[in-house]
Amino acid sequence: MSILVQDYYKVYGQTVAADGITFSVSPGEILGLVGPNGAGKTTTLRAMAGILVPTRGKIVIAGHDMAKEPVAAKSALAYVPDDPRLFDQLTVWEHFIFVAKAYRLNDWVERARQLLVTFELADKRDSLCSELSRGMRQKVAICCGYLHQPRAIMLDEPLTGLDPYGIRSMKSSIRKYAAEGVAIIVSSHLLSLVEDLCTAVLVLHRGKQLLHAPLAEMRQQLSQSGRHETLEELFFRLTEENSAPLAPPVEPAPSATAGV
Amino acid sequence: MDRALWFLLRLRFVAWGRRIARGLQGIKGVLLVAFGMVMLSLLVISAVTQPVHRVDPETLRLYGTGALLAYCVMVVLTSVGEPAVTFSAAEVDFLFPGPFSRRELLAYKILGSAFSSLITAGFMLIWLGRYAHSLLAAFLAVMLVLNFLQLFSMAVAMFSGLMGARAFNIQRKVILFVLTVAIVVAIGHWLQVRQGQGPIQWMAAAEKLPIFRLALAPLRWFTEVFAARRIWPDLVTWASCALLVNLIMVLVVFLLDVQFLEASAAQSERHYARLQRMRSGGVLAGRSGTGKARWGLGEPPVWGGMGPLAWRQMLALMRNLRGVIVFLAMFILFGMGPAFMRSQGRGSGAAIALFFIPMMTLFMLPRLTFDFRGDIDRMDVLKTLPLPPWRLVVGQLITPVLIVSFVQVLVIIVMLVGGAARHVGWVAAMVVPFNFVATAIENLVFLWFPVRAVPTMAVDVQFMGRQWLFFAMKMLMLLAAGGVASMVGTIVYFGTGRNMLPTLISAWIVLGIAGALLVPVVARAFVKFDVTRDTPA
Repeated sequence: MSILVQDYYKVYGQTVAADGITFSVSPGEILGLVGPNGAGKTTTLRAMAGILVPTRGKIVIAGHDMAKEPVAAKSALAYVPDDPRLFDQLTVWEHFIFVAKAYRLNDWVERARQLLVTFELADKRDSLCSELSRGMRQKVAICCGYLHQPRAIMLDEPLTGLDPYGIRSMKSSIRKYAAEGVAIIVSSHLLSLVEDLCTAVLVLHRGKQLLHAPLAEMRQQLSQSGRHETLEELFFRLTEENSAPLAPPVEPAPSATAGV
Repeated sequence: MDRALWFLLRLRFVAWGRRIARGLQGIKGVLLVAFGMVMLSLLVISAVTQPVHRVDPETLRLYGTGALLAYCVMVVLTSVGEPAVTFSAAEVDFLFPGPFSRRELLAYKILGSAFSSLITAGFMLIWLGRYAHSLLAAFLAVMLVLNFLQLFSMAVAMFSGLMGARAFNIQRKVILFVLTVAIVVAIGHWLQVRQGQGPIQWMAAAEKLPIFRLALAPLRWFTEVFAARRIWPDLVTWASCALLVNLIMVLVVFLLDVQFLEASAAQSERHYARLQRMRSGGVLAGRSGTGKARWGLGEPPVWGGMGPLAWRQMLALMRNLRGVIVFLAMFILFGMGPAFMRSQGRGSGAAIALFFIPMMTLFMLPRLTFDFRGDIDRMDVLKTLPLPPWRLVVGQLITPVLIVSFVQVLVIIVMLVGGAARHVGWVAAMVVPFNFVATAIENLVFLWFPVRAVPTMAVDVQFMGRQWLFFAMKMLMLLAAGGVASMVGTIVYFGTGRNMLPTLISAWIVLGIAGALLVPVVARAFVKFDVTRDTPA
C-alpha cells in the first residue's frame, strides 16, 4: 500500500473533525475524497501530510509510519493544498531549485522544464511568485509537488483557479502519474471530476466515513440492487440520510473504525 | 540543518536585495527611494549630531532588566491561549509537508530570526547609538536582546505546548491550576507587603534579595553589554555571557522538541488572514471577530444613496471597535497625555487645543481607514454602485470624519471639565469641517497614488520614502486650506471688533467651501481609478 490510514481520529476541543477514518490507496489508484464543507477532508489530508497530529490512529506513507519516521514518509509524498501560498519574493525557478535541494534530486532540470511546458509556465520561469495569478500559483505548487516524483500525491481541490488548459493538463498528469504507479488522492467538490478521474471514492460527512469503495464495484453493486444512481445522486442520498442533528461528542473508543 | 533550508535562507536574503533593486525600476521608484534615503539620512544626521547622552549604568541595569523581566512575564501570561512558533504561510505549505525534521525547522526559524535581527539592530542604532559608550556595544546589545526575546517566546511556546499535551487529562489540569494559584497568591502577598510602592521600587527591593538577584542575573547581562565602556574586558565578557544565555535558550527549545507543527500551522492561518485583512483594510482591520456580529445599526438611511455607504463603513468600524478603542486609548494616553501634562502652565488652554486638536486628526486619520483606503480590494464593487461619484465620495468619507470629530469633542469636553478656559470649546465648532477636508485630502492622495497600508518587508526604504512624501503632500494641502480659513477668520476677528462668533462662522464657511470643492476632485480621482492598473499588489 502506498497510503494507509487506519482508525484516524482527530478532535478539537468538543468538535470531532475525523472519527475513525480507515482506508488505503494502492499504487496506481486514484481516490476521490468527497464530502460537504466541514466534512473533514482537509483535516484528513493535512494529517496525511504530517502537518496535523492525529488524536489517535496510524498513517503510513510508502511503508513509513508518519508518527515514527516523518522525514522518510514526507520524502515519498507530495501535498498541494487548496490555496497554496508560495514564497512571494522567489521566482518560479527558484522554487524548483529549493524543492530539488530539499528532496536531494540530481537530474531534475529537464523534468522541471518539461513541467513548465506542460503547465504553460515556461514564460513565467523567472517571474516572482507575487506577480502570478491565483491559477498560476496553483500550477507552480503542483509542479513543485510533481518535481520530486513522489510515490503518493495528495491534491486538495486541484482544479480551483485553473483555466481550461490547466484543467486538461492537470487531469492528464493525474492519469499519467497513476499509470506510473503513484497513489493519488484528489479532494474535490466537483463530483463529475471524481467520477471521471478516480478509481475509488471516499465519502466523508461530519468527520465520519460514509463510504469507501472502488467506483466500478460501487456502480456494479448499485446496478445489482436496482438503483441507477450517479455519484452525485449517491452523494446526496448518503449525506442527507446522515444529516441528523449532531450528538454530543464522546471520548474516542479504542477501535472505532468504519469502512465499506 | 538541512542544506535546502540554508539555501532557502540565502534565497530570502537575495530576495530582500532584489526587492530593493526592483523598487529602483522606473523614475517613480527611483524618486521614492531617493526621497526615502534623504529622509533616512536626515534622521541619521540628526541622531548623530545630537549630543551624546550616555545612560547611567545603574539606571540602565535597573530599567533594562525590569523591561526585559516585564516582557518575559508578559510572554508567559499571554502564551497560554496561543502557544505556537510562528511560520509564514508559504513556510507552512512548503516546509511542513517537506522532508525536514521538526528540529531542522526550528533551526531554520531561529537562524532566520537571527539574520533579521542583524538588520533591525543596525536600523535601531540610529536612535539608540548615542546612549551607549560605543556603537558596537549598542549594536551587539540590541541584536542579542532581539534574539533573546525571540528565543524566549519560542521556548515558552514550546514549554506551553508540552504542558498542554501533558496536562491533557483533568487530574493534571487540576494540579497545574493549583500550582498557578499558589504562585499568584505568593506574588500577590509579596506585592501587598510593598503596598504603595511602584514597579521600580519593587524592582529595586527585589534586586536586594539574593535569590531574585541570581534569577535576574542573565537578564542583567544584556544591559551590561549596552553599558560596556571598553571592548576588553567589558564588552567581550558581557556579550559572551548574553550569548551563552541565548545558546541555552536554543538548547532548551531543541530539547523540548514539542510537536509544534499543528499549532504553528493554525497560528499561521490566523496570521495570514490577519495580514490579508490589514493589507486590504488597514492596520485596525487586522483583528478578526468571533464570527458572530454582536451589534447592528438597524436599517441604513438612504440620503440619496450616501446613507448605505456610511452605514456600511460605520458597521465595519463597530466590528473593529476593540481595535479602534485600544488605538485611541494608546494615542490619548501615550501621545496626548504627556504632551498635555508637559504644556501645563505654559500657555492658555485655547492655544494648546488649537495645536493638539488638529494634530489628533493628522495622527488618527491614517489609521482609521474606514473609507476608500479600507476598500482597496472592493473598488470594483464601489464602481458598480448606481450612484453619482460625488455622493459615493461623501458616503465613503462620513465615517472617519464623525469618529475623529467625536473623539476630539470628547477631549475638548474633558479639557473644559478639567478647568480649561471657556473659549477652548470654540475649537469644537471647527472639528467637523476641518476633519472633512483632512479626510478628503487623505483619500485624494490615496486615489492618486494607491498603496497598501502594510509594508511587505522590513526596512523598506521605498515604503518609508512614499509615506514621508505623501505626508508632506497632505500637509501642504491641509495647510493651504487651514491657512486660508485662519486668514479669513483673523480678518473677520479684527474687522468685527474681536467678535468670536462671526470669526468662527467665516472660518467654518471657508473650510466648508474647501471641503465642498474637494468632493468633485476626489470623485474625479475615483472615476479615473483603474481597478486593473491601480490596485496595488
